[in-house]
Amino acid sequence: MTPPVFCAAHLLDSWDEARPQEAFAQLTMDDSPVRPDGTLVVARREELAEFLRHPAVRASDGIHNNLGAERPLIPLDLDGDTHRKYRRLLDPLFTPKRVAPLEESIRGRTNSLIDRFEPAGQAELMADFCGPLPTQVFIDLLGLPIADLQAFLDFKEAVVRPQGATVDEQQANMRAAGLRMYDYLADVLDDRRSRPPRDDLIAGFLATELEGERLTDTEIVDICYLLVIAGLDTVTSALACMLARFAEHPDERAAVVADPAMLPKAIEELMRYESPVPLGHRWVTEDIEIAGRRFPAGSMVEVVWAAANVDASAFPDPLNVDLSRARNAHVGFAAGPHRCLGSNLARLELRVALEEFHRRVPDYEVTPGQSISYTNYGVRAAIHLPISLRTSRRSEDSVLGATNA
Amino acid sequence: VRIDVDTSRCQGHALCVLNTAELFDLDEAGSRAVVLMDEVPAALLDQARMAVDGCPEGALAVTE
Repeated sequence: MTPPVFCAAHLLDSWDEARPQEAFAQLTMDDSPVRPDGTLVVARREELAEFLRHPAVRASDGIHNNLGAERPLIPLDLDGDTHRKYRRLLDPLFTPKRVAPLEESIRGRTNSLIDRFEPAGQAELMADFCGPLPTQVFIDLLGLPIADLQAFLDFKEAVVRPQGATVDEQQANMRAAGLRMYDYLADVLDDRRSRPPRDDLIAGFLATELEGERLTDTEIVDICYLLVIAGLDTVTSALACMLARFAEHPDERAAVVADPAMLPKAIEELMRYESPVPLGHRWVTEDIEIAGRRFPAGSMVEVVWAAANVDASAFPDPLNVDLSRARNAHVGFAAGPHRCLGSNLARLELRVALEEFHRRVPDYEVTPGQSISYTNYGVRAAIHLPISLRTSRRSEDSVLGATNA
Repeated sequence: VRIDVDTSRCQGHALCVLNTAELFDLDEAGSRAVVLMDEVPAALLDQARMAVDGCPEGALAVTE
């Protein structure tokens, strides 16, 4: 089956699901890439930065909402002053300092997941680790019961990879899943109002004031809806891409096992190279010119973060992974006014997950006879990641652990 | 040597804060970077330059 074309790079001969980086790099060679349907494509790092800074560039056409939503998602589908108003509320909740206290609970969740598959000596890391971890962290962050985990996983799967034979069917399934999430979140708010306040994100939303007024239930639901989608699949996918990389590159894995302090830089480099969210769309409200290219009023533009991240004019030797790359102004978390709100929570989750994983499981390989499979539809992920744990180092470690305890 | 933040470009990614917390922080609103020292101490110069080069918005500038 031909994969659904969602991205200009998909159309290139060099497209490869496992290694799409070459096709993305090829996009940056073109002075003015355009899809066959006429959609203008922005691929070069410098052009992208200038384009996103332009005040006539919007994240919404004012008509359609992203991801099966009935109303504009806050803040993704908003622009200008309204967008800034909500970002002023949300930005402070996701700064490095604000997310830091979550570190211990993330570490605990990570270890509980490893406890479950470690004795078997093998795992399918998408189902056993990368899938559940970000959702568990998110449920903790919002202060929801962990028993609701499966409902969240089902919802994000239905929205990110909608089922259906036709686009209409997929849209209908996506909207149905969206309606269930709206109902669920509305019930949560009703329930929380009848209880004493707690110290979590939902309590924060219920207590907060925006320009002197409390948030309405509809606003809180719309914010949470976006957080659920934006916070779950993206971290899952990024983590899966990174573990897949380490499974297939023992030298790189050995380096981070030996020196976990390398991880923050290594994570930035893999965010650059893997670009789990490959692209976004923007709309132009008036005729503008960027880097010598005309973008007419009303046009929709495909902004390809994944291409900008392998642009040779911004990143020397861009197709080479250098875990200690020094100059790394990547746009794996997007850029401009709609840059990823949760990037610092994502960084924390990725760091803690990779630290603990490699402390507990320093040696592993793709299970012999099986292989990793990738999807690049919507979000790039290693959707099937079967690994076997090599035991020699583990038994040594547990002996050491016992001695030190 | 000093570092300036172009607040019209800064979007509060906070990568500079993560890289060099001695030198950068976010403002009280948590949305824009601020530089904590007028002069960058020699010991922090390399890290400071890395933060400048690593800013996704190109919002940091070094003045020698």
